[in-house]
Amino acid sequence: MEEIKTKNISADIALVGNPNSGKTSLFNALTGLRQKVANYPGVTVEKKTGMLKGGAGVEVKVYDLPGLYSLVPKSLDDKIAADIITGRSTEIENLKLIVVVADASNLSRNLYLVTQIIELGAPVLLALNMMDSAKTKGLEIDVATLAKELNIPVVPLTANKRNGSQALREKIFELVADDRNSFQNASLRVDDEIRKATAPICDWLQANTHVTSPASCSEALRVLSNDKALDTWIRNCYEPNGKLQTVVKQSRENLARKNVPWPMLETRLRYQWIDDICRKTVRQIKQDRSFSEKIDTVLTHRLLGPFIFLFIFALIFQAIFSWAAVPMSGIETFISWLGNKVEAIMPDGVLEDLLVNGAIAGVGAILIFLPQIMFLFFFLSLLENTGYMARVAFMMDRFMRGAGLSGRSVIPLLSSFACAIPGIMATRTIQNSRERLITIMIAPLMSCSARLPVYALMIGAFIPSIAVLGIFSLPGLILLAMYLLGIVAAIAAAFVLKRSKGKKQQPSTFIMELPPYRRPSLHQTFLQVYERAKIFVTDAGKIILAISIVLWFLASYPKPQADISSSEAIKQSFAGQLGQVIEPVIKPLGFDWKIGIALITSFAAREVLVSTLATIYNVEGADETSVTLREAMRKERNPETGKPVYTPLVALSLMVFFALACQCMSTVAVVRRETNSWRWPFIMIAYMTILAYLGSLVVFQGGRLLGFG
Amino acid sequence: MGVQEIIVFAVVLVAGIFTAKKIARQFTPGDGGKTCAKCELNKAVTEKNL
Repeated sequence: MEEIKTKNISADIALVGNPNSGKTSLFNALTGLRQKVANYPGVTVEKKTGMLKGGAGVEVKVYDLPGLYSLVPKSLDDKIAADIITGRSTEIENLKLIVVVADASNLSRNLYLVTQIIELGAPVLLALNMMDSAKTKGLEIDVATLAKELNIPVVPLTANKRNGSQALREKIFELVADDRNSFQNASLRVDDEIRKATAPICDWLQANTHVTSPASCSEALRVLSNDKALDTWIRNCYEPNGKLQTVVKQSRENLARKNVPWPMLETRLRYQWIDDICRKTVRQIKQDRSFSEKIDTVLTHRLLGPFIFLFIFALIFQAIFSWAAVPMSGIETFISWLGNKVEAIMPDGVLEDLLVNGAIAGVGAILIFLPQIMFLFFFLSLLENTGYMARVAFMMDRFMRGAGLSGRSVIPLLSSFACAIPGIMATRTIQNSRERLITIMIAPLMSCSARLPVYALMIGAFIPSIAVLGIFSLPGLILLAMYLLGIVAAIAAAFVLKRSKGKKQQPSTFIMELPPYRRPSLHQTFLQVYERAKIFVTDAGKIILAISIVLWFLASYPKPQADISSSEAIKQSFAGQLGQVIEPVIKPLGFDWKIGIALITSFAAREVLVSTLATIYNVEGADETSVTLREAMRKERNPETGKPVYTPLVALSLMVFFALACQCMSTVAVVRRETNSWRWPFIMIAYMTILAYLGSLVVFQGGRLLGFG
Repeated sequence: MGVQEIIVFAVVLVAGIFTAKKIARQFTPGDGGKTCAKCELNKAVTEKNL
């Protein structure tokens, strides 16, 4: 190591492997970063970078690539990784080492990609991850024999517990300092007939592309036995005159004449080799029904499974309301104290008014909900890391197929519970472009964390805390109902969109290997909660503060000429005038002009609804004793009728509107980016706004007809 | 117009510019649209075959 430390080496390495083999856990362990990890496939959909820690004089940039099962790409995220590994893409310029991460508890399946990669002739290091899971399954792996069979270095480890990551780090530093140009990795042995058939393709690839030996022979076999692999080369513009297609056709005909079937030829040969390796290296020391299989008979049961899912989520929402109450009250008291303190210190005037009723009231009103958001992420992270979310995807497959989609759409939709943006990005794993588009269009219907403050404000202020069935309470169940409304609306929207006019495509198949249940790492869980809370306070906080300030101005100016009441003054302000223009449109939903203003500003970020209402009520009540937003809303009376503006029915109507409306600028932006068009974001805004309006109208007018409100 | 009002208007102006810039940035692809150009879906949308 001393020699390496004195050299100044700069190198790029790539982490590749099957989905859910623990690449991101390893990436976090190596780089000290905090990328999201979960116990289900498809979490990483684009490459991520970080620096490898601990190398004096050695600068190693680590790339975490999306998971893939084979070098034949099937979806966009597969393609990103496959193109980099095979060299079709030169995005990683100085790639010195490929670290293939394999799940030791499922070695046979993982070796498929490993053997494909080692044949490329590049320096490869095998990180044999999840050794703890292999041990639990009763598997014993002879690491030394495996390394000999593959003729590459192998490091056993358990990345999420940081066991073995130091040994891997040292091996990486050693290998990037290795100056050799060629590596004698093991490769698939094929008979003469197949060698003769692949030879012309191999020659063509060497002559017409940048692929050199030995990678070209491995690629030739792939192109020979798989149309998708052939398409990949044609699409990469290596096929200007149809020559490759002719060569491949000729080779396939030659094989057929000798009764060697070419379809899936590579798969069959490779699995023969892998079976041989596994016979020599893997020993099953005990075999009984695994813990995961036993639990799954109950949790994924056809009838019981969905009820258990509802029960778990009802408990989570219950906990969000009860456990977060104490810290929320603490933040509320602090914000109120801060407002009063600033008011006492500063002289009366517009600056004090801006600080107290604009900035502190606006930002403070939203900060109160931080504990609830943190609890939501804590529970979501636990469910993801145990592997339960993968079971939810499996159970939802049935319902998604009814709507014309597949379980492949479920993971992006589940990601959208946190935020629609990563959910929309995760649709890159869907091969069928029409299904991908539909999933993008319905993802914003899933209730994201930004809706939580709106729901929590309305439920906390207007839904009585009545116990239901002993263990649940009405607020928790109403919150669950809002989340279910989003899911049902998403499935219904998918059903309609799937049947709309458009080119018919082959439906996606959904094959998902259920990962074993794992004890969640509390370290990872708390890191994810911390990261989310930080994003909420810093990223969302900035825009909330800016909008609160602008809104304070709009609600405070122009200053009234005559001495009129504060409620009349705010009505004459810029915000009041704009709100009254909107009011006739939203009155049938039970909303007044103040909610109308909040609906407009919340398009920047959904949580802004809360800060907008807080700013408006604080500006209006600036001369009175400070009250919380909830109290101000409860006290609010209609000046014409004298009746309360907010009733439980209005609160429900507003929650339904928010559950269904596309009130998020960032979502619109990401849909525009992912579809490369303005057409689809506009369609999304239009259909979701109409849906929200109608849903809210039915709730409010229907409720009134039934005598509520 | 007093000093307080001048400060307030300046703060409101900065907040307004920040909000407008934030909105504009949302709709500017950070990678110059390179990622999208590779996307199969984009191709399909462009070719209007959905």
